[in-house]
Amino acid sequence: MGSDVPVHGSSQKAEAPLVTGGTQRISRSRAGLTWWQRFGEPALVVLCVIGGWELLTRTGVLPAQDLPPATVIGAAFIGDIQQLRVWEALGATLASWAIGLAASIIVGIPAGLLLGSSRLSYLLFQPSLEFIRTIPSIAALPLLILLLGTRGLELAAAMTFLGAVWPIVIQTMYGVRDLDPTTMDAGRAYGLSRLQLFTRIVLPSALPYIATGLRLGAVVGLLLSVAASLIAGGKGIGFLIVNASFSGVPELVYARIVLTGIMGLGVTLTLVAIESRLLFWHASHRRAVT
Amino acid sequence: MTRLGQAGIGIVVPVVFFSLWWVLSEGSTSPYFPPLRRTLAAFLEIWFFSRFFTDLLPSVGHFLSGLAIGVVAGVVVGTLMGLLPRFSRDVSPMTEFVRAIPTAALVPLGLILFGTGFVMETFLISLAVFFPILVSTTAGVRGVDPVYLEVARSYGLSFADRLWHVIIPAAAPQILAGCRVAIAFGLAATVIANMVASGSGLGFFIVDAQTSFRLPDMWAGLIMIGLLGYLANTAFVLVEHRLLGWHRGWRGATQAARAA
Amino acid sequence: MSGRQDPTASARAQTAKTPVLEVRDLGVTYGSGPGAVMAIRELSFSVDLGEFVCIVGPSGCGKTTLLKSIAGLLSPTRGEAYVAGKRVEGPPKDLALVFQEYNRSLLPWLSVGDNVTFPLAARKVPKADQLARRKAALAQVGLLGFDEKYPWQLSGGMQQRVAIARGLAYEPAVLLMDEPFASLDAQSRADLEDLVLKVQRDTGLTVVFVTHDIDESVYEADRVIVLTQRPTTIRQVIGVDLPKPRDQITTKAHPEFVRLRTEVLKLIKNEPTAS
Repeated sequence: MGSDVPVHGSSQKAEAPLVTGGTQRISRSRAGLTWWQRFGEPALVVLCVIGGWELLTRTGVLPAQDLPPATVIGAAFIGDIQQLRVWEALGATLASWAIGLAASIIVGIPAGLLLGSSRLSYLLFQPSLEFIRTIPSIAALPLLILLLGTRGLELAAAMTFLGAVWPIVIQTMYGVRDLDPTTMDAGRAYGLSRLQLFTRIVLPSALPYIATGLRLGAVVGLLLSVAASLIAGGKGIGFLIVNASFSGVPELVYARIVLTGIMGLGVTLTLVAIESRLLFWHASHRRAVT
Repeated sequence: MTRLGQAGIGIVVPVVFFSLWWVLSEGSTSPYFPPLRRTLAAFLEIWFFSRFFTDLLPSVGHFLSGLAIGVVAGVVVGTLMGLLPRFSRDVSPMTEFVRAIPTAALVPLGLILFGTGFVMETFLISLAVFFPILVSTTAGVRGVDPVYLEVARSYGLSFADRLWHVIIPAAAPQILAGCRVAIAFGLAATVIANMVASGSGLGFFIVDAQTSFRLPDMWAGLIMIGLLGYLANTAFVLVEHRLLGWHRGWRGATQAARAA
Repeated sequence: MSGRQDPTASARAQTAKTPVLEVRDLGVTYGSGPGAVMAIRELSFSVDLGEFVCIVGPSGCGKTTLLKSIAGLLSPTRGEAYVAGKRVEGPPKDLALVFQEYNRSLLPWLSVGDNVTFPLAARKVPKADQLARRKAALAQVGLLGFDEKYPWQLSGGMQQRVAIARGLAYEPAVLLMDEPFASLDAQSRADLEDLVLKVQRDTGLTVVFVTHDIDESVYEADRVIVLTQRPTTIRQVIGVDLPKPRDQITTKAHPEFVRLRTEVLKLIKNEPTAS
């Protein structure tokens, strides 16, 4: 997942002495990308890979038992998405993810704000939180199975919560701590009340950190929601994948995995879009500084 | 506040937590939360004796193998993607798609292709490790300050020299940041990989303990997984500390200069 | 390297007739067709062994482009450059470049000492040789004993000195300097101007020094090449006949200095500013 180390910036001087690399071919390097370069060629490469897969599996170079040809998978996929229960399963996974994520936000952000607000609480809790963060949340699955059962959405939601809450708390805490003291001083000098200081200065400057925490938490949470239904059973898409593998129809397994991937992609892209919209001012600020 | 003082404060919460856990669970009648005393006894018995070779060592072995493969593959492909924009554009749709598939969903796939055992688990772990490293290496390579490369070119360094002496060291901070994430994902994959159909391994152990209702064993397994996570992370932090000492100083100086 | 009076063997091997740097009909045009920008129309000049030549021009003129072409980092559209008699087709062996952004031209993961011998290490120069050249170069710039420090621990002026030491350790025939002191405070700039003069005195190195600071150009140079605005050609070449060694106080008070800088200033002021 994205690292937080900033990327080195480009030269800021108009006369840019000897900064850009390579023997200068200004027209090429400065021109934008053509449609073909951005979409056409990549699409062609994907088609070639799929075509190659089809060829290799049909001709028996790759064992078609374990690796069904692309068209067979495609057919299974199309047949599958017409089934209501597949959509119900997707819905269950996404719903438990959303619930767990919402809970982790409601709990995590205030907790992070609180813990980050004083130096003492930061020193007390940061090491423990960082320690907990290193524990793979999946380890708690058997315990939660016992406590919550596998029937409803609770298990997947709880697993999501467990995976998402730590990055959210920790990142929020860092966001509060990373406040520029000069900015705070400026606020105090202008006579802002404690509440105003918090909402007008602390919160906005912590926002990029919180956004990072949300992004990390959302991704890990989705991973865990799928894992929960896969390992423990229940209503999610994970269970359907296991089901397909028991029924001895490998192409269905592939098809459902592809479906899960599409779901994952959709969620990630949506999150990225939301984040960039909310933080467009901050993101460009980030790029100019680093 | 000295470093020792800070470390001292940091210990307070864990100590309090464990003490509370011990005391509150001592008289516990709940089957789900056995006394910590019993859990710890089970912990020692299992991990140092009965299950060490059957479950702990194999899982750790799979983790380390998967980590090695994933890191090497990730750095190589990531460097290629960072240096060759065209390659990156053409290959990204596929890598991004596979990256979006939750690790657990790939377990049935691994089972179909490889059955259970070393190959399947290492395959899964390598995959989980590969993607964070790929992303961070690509970013790191792309973000290398062009002035470094101009300097190297002006002194007549060949491409191979520039790659080894400039690009890789300059990208190292970001690559290592990706390693940190990769270790977490890899460990999770290690546990998930044998929770489904395996007969041995850490994941199998705690699921088996749970279904057989051997609660102290389950807790012991949970603690062991947590311990492994902590150890792996600590080992990484130590390595990173040594390798990137220069980076901390450089960033501090650069930020101070910008603030001035 | 210390105490040597002349630069590389290849340069020494030249007769007095062959200039150590020669630029012939150099032209650089970016892009093609109607959107093409002619940065340099035509530049021809030569620099003799041991000369200190400064290149000045209005901002926006092709000073940087010219330097890149000489350093082999850019292929000119027309004409060529020759260093030590050999045509430039990629970074020439006998040339070392000192960049303006000292804080980005030194590699932060290497110590000062390793930075100084970085080009040598990459070219597999024997270790003992590397260390000898490192020591000599650092001594030349007054940073002996700073081997183990890291560049970001040093001030701007010291960092630029390390960059100069790196160039010296490389033992080139020509030292190219691209506005090297532009980002420094006035005091550091004065110190470094004197340092470069001293180094050149001690080693007999040929220096080509690009700057926008007119006083600096007259102070340092044996000859000043004044460039026009884009598309760039040579406006005028002015010989500087001031007594040596130069001194920040007496030289700058010298009437000839005042006359020369006024002349250069007039030439540049009459150029249109960059669009």
